Amino acid sequence: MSVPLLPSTRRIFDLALGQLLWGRRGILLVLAAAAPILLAMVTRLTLVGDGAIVQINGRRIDSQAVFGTVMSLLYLRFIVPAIGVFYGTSLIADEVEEKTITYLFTRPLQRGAIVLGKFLAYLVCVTAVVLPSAAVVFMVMVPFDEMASLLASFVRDLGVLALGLAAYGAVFLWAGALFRRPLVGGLLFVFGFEQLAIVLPGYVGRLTIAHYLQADTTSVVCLLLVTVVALWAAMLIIGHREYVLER
Amino acid sequence: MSKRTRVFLFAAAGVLVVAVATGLVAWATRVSAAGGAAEDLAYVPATARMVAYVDVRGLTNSPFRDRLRQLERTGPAGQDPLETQTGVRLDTDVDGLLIVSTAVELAVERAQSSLVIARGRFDAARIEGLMRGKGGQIDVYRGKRLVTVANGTNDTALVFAEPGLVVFGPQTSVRGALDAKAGAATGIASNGEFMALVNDVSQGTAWTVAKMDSASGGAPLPPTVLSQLPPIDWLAASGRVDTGLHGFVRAEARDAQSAESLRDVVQGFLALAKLQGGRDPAYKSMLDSVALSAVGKSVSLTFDVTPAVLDLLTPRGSPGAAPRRP
Repeated sequence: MSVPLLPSTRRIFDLALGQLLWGRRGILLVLAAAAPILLAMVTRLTLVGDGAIVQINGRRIDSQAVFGTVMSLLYLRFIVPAIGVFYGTSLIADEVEEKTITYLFTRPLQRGAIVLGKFLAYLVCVTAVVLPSAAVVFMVMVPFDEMASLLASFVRDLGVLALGLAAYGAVFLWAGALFRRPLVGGLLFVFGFEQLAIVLPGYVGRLTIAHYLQADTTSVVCLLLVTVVALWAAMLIIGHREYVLER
Repeated sequence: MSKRTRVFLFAAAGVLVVAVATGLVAWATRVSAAGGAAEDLAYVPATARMVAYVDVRGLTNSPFRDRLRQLERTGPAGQDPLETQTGVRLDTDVDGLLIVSTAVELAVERAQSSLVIARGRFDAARIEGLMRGKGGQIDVYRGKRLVTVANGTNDTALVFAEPGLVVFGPQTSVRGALDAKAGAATGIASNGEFMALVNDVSQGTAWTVAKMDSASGGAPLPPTVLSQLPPIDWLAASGRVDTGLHGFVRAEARDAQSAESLRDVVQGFLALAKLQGGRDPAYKSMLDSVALSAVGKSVSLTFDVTPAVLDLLTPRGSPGAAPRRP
């Protein structure tokens, strides 16, 4: 007899959160969080220094512009998809690869709870690293007297970051449940197809998650929808699939 | 959940809270000290459609103003009629000027009414005497001496609301300003959208925020121009002067699609301007400094008029006007 969904989810969540935070992949998270902070410090020192001036097309670039660029190019275009691929695909695929999924299946847990618990652990883990990193970048890069005008967009950016991490994580969790080796395909999707589709004219861009990484109602609804549908699909797969583990 | 996981999560949440709190403190202090206009904004009623502010002292003391004077073709120096009648010299006696345009409901139509709020050093007795000479009556409203002139062509009022602060305009608007200050009427500070835009531009030496409401006839642009543009809700502009002029214009479109269309329209105008004025080094330099961006519903444009551009615009700096060598 299996335990109901919510208590099962909580057990998996507790187990997975520790594994995600303090496991080998934690190094990737540390790098993802530290690199923008380091970049922010260097940029801020450059901007306040008398000697160096950052210019684009002959125009001096202020810290607000640099912060906006860091958020859109570094976080939304690179860090969020990269973390989504690496962590999302590993949530189920690693259990299959390391043949430990059998242990989870033999416990009195609902199979859907494995997906839900691991996804929630992933979400808490990555948002607890990426969002504070963005917050530190905000504090380092934006001078105090300019913070007021950027506060609203900064809070919106935090929301978009969290939604993006959720959507990418759910989609690649689904891919991890469906395919044996989803990482290569995931990387191709994120850094190949998405990058190409966004610059292509027409409606191809709408087939990407990156297109919806914006703070408007349609994008938020789309990201939530993608997350829920991908999670539901992953739960269905895990619930019905028999994994044949290689010896 | 292990202890170190819990500690980590609390630390992460703490960093987030500190960042947002710092931003909120920055926002709050900026609201309370939004340039020299912050105190005067308390007199602006919520019905305001447009607010414009000029830091007159900052403007007159700027090197940019000195350079600009060189461009002016001044005729024989005459006495300023304002100074003659009121004893007020705009460039030395006035520190800041806030101009407010409000919508006034009349019996048959909705009209625009302008209110002037000036801070500086004024000869109250002389100005009141001038008003009384034109048939002015003294009235007391909300504990302030209101001088009103009401006849067939005029219905204006003036009040020295505080030491060094004069409010002048149509009687209804002046009374409305005193109501707003006393808290008896809703002030503009209750309009979060308006105040957010004011915060964005109020660091400028001169700035304006306007509600683009073409339906009520309150838009600061002619209807023919408005009809050619995508729907715009708000328009904000500011200019900061030092040795040059740093301009900033921001339009809040009705939606993201309108913002993109607006950006395309402005881009078209800029291209045309570059085509027309690109040969003149002064205009070319100014046009090169123009930066246009669109984020969400906002379309922003910045430009710089540098001292070098001013040099090129002055007759001495203009290559065409250079004295010919023998």
